[in-house]
Amino acid sequence: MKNILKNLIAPAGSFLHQLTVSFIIGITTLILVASVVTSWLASNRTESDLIRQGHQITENLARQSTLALLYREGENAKDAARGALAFPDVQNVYIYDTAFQLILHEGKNFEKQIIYFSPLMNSSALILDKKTHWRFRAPVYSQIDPDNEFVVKGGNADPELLGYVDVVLSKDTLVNTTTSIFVVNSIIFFSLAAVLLLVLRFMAKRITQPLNKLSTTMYNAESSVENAYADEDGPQEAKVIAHAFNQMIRAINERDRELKNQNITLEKRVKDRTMELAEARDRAIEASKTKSRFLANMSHELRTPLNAIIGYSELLMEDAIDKNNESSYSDLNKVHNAGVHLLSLINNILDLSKIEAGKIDLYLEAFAVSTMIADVQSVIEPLARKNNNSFQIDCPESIGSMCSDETKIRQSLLNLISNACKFTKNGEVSLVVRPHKLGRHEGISFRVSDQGIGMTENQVNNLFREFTQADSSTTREYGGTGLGLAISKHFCEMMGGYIRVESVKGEGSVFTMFLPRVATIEGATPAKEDDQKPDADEKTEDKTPMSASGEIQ
Amino acid sequence: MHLKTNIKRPGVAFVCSWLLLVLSQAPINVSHAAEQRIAVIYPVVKKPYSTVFERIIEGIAAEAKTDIARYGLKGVDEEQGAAIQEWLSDQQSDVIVVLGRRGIEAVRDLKLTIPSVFGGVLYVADTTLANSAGISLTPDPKQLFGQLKRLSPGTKRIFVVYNPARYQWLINLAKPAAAALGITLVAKAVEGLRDSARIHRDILREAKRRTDSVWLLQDSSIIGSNTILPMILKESWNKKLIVFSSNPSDVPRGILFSFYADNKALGENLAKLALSRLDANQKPRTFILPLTGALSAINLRTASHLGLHIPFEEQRKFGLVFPRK
Repeated sequence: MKNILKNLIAPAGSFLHQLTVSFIIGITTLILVASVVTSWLASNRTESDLIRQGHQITENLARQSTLALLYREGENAKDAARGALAFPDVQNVYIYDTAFQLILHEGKNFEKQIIYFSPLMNSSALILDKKTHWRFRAPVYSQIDPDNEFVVKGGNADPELLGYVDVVLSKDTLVNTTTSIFVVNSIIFFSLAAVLLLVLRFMAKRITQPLNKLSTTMYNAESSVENAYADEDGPQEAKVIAHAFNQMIRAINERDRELKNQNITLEKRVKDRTMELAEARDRAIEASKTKSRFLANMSHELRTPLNAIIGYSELLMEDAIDKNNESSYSDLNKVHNAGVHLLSLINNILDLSKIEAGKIDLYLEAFAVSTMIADVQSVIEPLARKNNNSFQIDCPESIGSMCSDETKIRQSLLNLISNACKFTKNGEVSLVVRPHKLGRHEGISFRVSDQGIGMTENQVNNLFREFTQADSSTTREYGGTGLGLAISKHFCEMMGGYIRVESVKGEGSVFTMFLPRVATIEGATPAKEDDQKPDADEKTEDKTPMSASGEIQ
Repeated sequence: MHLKTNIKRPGVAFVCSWLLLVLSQAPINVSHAAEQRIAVIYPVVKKPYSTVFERIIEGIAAEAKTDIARYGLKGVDEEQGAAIQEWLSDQQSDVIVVLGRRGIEAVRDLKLTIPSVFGGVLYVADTTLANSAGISLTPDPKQLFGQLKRLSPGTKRIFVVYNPARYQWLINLAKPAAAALGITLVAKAVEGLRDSARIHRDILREAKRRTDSVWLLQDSSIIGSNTILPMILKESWNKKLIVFSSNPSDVPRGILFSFYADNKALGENLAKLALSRLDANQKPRTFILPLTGALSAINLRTASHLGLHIPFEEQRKFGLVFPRK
């Protein structure tokens, strides 16, 4: 019941529904209460009227029964008793003497039971109140002195009790009246309620119609706000809501228009900028290519005279040795060394230019890794000793061979190890070579660690940029062009590998070069990140390999 | 229950008769009392009953020939006795006339130092007012019987049922009055309504047309206006029996005739009686006198039914004639 009521007046229902339900509940309650109360009041009124009537009939009969009781002859009161019976609902009349001996009975049913009760003088009493009838009793007294100024009380004139008169009054009228009042009231009230409900529903519909229309308009506005304006009519409150809604829709439409215009403008701008950028990019690429071409050409042009200088300086040095001219030899040696260094710089620039110009190629060949490592050791050891460093190599014999560009691998390794030796003094530089999985492919890791100056995170991030060392102070102190690491990184990526750097400022750095055992042209295909991880806690850095566009020759 | 036809206090009857005689021949006493001051205590009632007392007081004043002191009793008050005492001492009256039931009840318990007279009531018990005389509103039997004799000269017996506690004094007066007219008064004392009903039925059975008649006293304790009276009226009508009453209000209902008080004359008589009480030769006694000089009322329809022919000239002598034309 509670749930039904709850559902009926659920706030989710429409206004009209809720109003109708509220009206029905209210009016029904009102009707029931009104019917019951009216019937109850009418019943009470009827009951008191009937009781009063019963008292009157009994008292009248008592007055008329005096003679019968004086003579103790019921016949004298028969007419009066029949007169009382003529009243509606009077069922029985009894006349008793003072000893409750029956003098007269008139009526339908005779009750033998006698109620021994004597009411007060001058009054009747309701002596029995049964479900079906009442029984009234009035005492019959001899004449009482009139209460006037001409009669003095006294003189054995006290009223004498002669007997009693009982009148039995049926409750049929009461029951019928109560029932008919309730039925008639209910019919009238329900009829009125039906009319009232119709009127109220009509009014409610009239009141809620603008709200419904507003609600529909708002619902439709979900899909399109354009022209989703509400009619501003109906009750004042609905008008205010509709007006506010229309204001809002107008504002939204205005904003949409502005947004549309801005989008168009923006798209045009983006298009223009994209075109400009594409042109700039093309120009930049062309400029870079031009620069690379120029550098390549210039390097070639520079190397020719430089080779002549180095060659002739060597000849002159041999000649100085033959002639035992030490001072000339020393000067010629400096010239020779400067030439060699310059040639190295030019080669690096040439390599970088070729890389940028996409003109560097991989020369794949099978080679034993240990042999290559031994070559590297022979080159590095003098370099390590220079800064009083020890150089350790850990390369198992079973490491096997690779099919890759040996020259570029060696160059990259030499670059990493020479850097380690350069930035470490009186420390230890080590190279650890291990087989390592690179995605689905077999690979080898070359781990170069030092106890040098180390780098900050920011320095590590800029490490592989061309012409960049850790910072400018590093360049001043340790020399170098800053091209080595960039070239090594490009080489590794061309071969399908990458370089990872771990460094702690002041403690040293670890450069690990991961390379596939067999470098293929597919090496450009980026390996999956998870696959690339040697193990779970190894960090990766700059692990996106660049594409290798060179041809295998 | 038994009948009381014997007279319990023959002495009272004698005194009353003697007093009547004195009153009717007492001009000397009255003249002596002309300068005596009379106080009247009367009940204040609504109209039309107030007229009765006003007329009585008017008669008293007329007979007293001096200003009379009046004390109206407006209601029942516990302090009333003291107020009356104080008022009486202020007035310095010589005699009091007490009127109506309330008047009698108001002075009943007072220790009056001056003589008192009562009136305006039908009867009082002997013990109601000690040493007080009064005039009843009940018509004098002499007058009643005289009228009866005039209307029905053949009447030999008059039946009456009475409550001795109330009307023994009247019966004592009635018997000689009837005898004086050659009529036998058959007076039957009863104690209550039940006896009265039975006796009346017996009387109505026994009474004979033309020679017997029934006299009804104004006493609700034995004549119920709604019980016995209708029965008497019915039976007497059927038997064409003459029934007369001391109660004038019975005449319109079918009783042949009755008498009613001329209130002013009653007042005059009360004043005379009061002044006579000042006579030093009179011993203070309690007694009551019937109404004299009353006016008559007749029901011509009943008379006609009874076969009594009342000439027009005779009809004019009646104060009230029913049915009213």
